[in-house]
Amino acid sequence: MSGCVIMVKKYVGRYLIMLIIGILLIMVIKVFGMDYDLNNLFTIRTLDSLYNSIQKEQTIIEDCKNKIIECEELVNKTNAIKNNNISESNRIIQQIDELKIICGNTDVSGQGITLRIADNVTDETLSYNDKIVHDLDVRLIVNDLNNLGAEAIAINGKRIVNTTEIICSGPVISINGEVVAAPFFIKAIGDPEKLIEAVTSESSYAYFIKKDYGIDITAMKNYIVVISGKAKNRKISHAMCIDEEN
Amino acid sequence: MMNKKVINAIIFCISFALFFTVIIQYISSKNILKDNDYSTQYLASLRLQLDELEKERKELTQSLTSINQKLLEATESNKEIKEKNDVLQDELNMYKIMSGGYDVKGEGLIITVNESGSLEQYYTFQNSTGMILSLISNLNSAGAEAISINDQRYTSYTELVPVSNFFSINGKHVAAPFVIKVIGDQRTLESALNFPGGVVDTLKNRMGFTVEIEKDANVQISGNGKTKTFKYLKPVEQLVD
Repeated sequence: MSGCVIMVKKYVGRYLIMLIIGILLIMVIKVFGMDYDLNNLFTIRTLDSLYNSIQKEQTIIEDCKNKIIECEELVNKTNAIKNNNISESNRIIQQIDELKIICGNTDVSGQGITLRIADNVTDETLSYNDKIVHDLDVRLIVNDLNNLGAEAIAINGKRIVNTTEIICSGPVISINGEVVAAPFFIKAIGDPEKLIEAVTSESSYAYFIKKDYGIDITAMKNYIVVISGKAKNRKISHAMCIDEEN
Repeated sequence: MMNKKVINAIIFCISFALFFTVIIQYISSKNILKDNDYSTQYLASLRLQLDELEKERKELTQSLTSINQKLLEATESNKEIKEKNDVLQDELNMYKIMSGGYDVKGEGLIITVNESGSLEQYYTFQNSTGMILSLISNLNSAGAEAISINDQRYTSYTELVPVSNFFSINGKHVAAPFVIKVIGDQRTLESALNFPGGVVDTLKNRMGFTVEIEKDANVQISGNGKTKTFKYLKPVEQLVD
């Protein structure tokens, strides 16, 4: 017992000093608000990671926004070019439609006349050759109709175009590569009063063969003549347009 | 006694060092945290900010994908239209040639029909228009793609009629001799013309004309003007309107 007391007595001074120092420390900590929180260490790590993540996301977002703007500009440009191309398409199609009418590829109608041309079957005195309708006769009558302002002509439904041939092929006539036979019905669109002169005028070819060879020709003025267009055109493999250099 | 003092001194130093380290760490962390209140509330708000940014990033990434898709579609569709235009342009060229309104060139023949001035001239030009038309029909049956008579483009509207000393072609006056230019396959055209008993045979041997046929690799045929106005003719669709 005395040994302990001696020990305490020996060290009590040091204990007291340490106690006082401890209390002082606590007082200092409290006075200066130095609350040491262990969690702060983890906080720094978390904060660091959070700040990094936020920075990364912001960079990606900025990048995305820039790319979206770029892309939108490209889309607008492409659409503008596309609209130009569509206008060009429409322009070309309109030109084609106009040219088709001139080429004779469209069905058309208007005032005009209808002619019927048939062989002379009554006269026994004339030779066979003189009585029948030849390709030459049809051609010359078509020529007269053109001279009188015909705007469209068809023979037995075959539309006359620039590349049309009217050629005898034995007993029939070949027109646009297809055969037609007498009697020949010629339809023409134009001023009926003028067109009828192809048959009535004394200087016309039809008048001549009707009078001299008895070829059976009748004509009729029509208020509406309907002429179908030629479906397909000849394939062009040698000709090409000379581009205007203007 | 020496040992004790040393031990004490060592213990004191170690303690002091430990204490010092704690102080340093504290001050360092204080510097980093900078007097702000880094309570869990603040951390939570940062986490919230991060969540919102992530959401925004996902939305923007989706937008970017969709606008890239839009760009791809626009480019594709533009390409299709461009290709269609090329086809249309070819078709337009074909119709330009067929219409007779445009200047054209290509291989073909140049045929000159003239009066021979000899005693065998049984026909004059004035009464031979039918033969010239026959010549043209034969050229057409042999695949002619463009024809002109004395530089007047021959079309379905062309007339060839004698008018006093001249001829009216496409409403213009031209004089004989006739120079007929044609574009097409030279061999086929020539063959059709020189057919025995054919047009050239008849013109030369039965009518007394001279006929010269010249092959030309670059026949140029002018168009008859690009516009044609119709006074009586209407396309059938217009009737329906």
